[in-house]
Amino acid sequence: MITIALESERVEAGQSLQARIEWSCTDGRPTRLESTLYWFTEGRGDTDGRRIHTETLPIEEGQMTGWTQIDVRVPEDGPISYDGTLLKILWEVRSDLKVDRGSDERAVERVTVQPRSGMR
Amino acid sequence: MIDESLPPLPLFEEWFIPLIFVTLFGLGVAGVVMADGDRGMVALGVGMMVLAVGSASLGLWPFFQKMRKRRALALGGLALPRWPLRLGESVQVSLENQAADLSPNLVSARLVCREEVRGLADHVGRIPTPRAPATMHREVRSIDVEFHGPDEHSLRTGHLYLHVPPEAAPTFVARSNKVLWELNVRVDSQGVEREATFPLLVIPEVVA
Repeated sequence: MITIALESERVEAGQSLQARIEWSCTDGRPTRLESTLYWFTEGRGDTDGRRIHTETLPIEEGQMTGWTQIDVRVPEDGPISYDGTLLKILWEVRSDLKVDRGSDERAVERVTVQPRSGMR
Repeated sequence: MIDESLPPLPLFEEWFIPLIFVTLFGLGVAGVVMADGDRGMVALGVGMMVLAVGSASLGLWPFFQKMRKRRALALGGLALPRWPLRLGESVQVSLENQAADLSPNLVSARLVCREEVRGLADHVGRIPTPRAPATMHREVRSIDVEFHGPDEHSLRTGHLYLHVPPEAAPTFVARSNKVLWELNVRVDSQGVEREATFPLLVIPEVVA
């Protein structure tokens, strides 16, 4: 089981996104935990997307529970989250627990990226 | 300074074909008549040539007029005090028309935000249906822009006041999905309406 706890569900473009990711496994042998921040589009057109950051945490043999913290800077030029008529732009943090002799696990948490604040 | 993109005027129009054919035919007949050598026939041939060239010029006159008016209405471009634009920003943009004077009742402008997506598959219910690639556009915002002009020092320059809403989406350009901003300016002068589109860049920064 994986739990992603975001420090904040909203983050400004150019700011850091922090999350604590806890995992536990009861079946098989967990080998690594991969955490990714990415954006993608949804809607009437073909999907566009980009992986912004991926972190891999190796898991020692015999370890069946643990946690990690990610701290990723969202690009200044976004894109920002958007809910339009023909398209949506969505941001997510995803964690995948790779398990030998067992089934992999996945958790996904949605993030809202907002425009950064500027000076007048 | 942002330049507008002018759609090209067709260099060749369909009605040119009969006009060219008739002119060449007239010139050919005139040549045959003149070959006779007789003084009267030469005079007749010259007359026919003048008639043929004159008819061709008259036929082409509306086309030349259109070209002249078009040149006279060419917008010189936009001068922005800052670039790119930000969300929530209000700017005064300078608009210049190269040849014709600008008057408030002849100029109208709109700030437009539109989505553009390109896709291959459509869905009928839950079943994906393959189809040819298609691009779809939708205007998601259309904001009337105030025009003030012409300037005291130049009758061909005026100002547009743009305001980008703070809650709007900034420009986004990916392979198949886009959010685009543009300024559409329409000038009605000398009985000819012209529209020019100036693409704008809005960044994901909101003015505090």
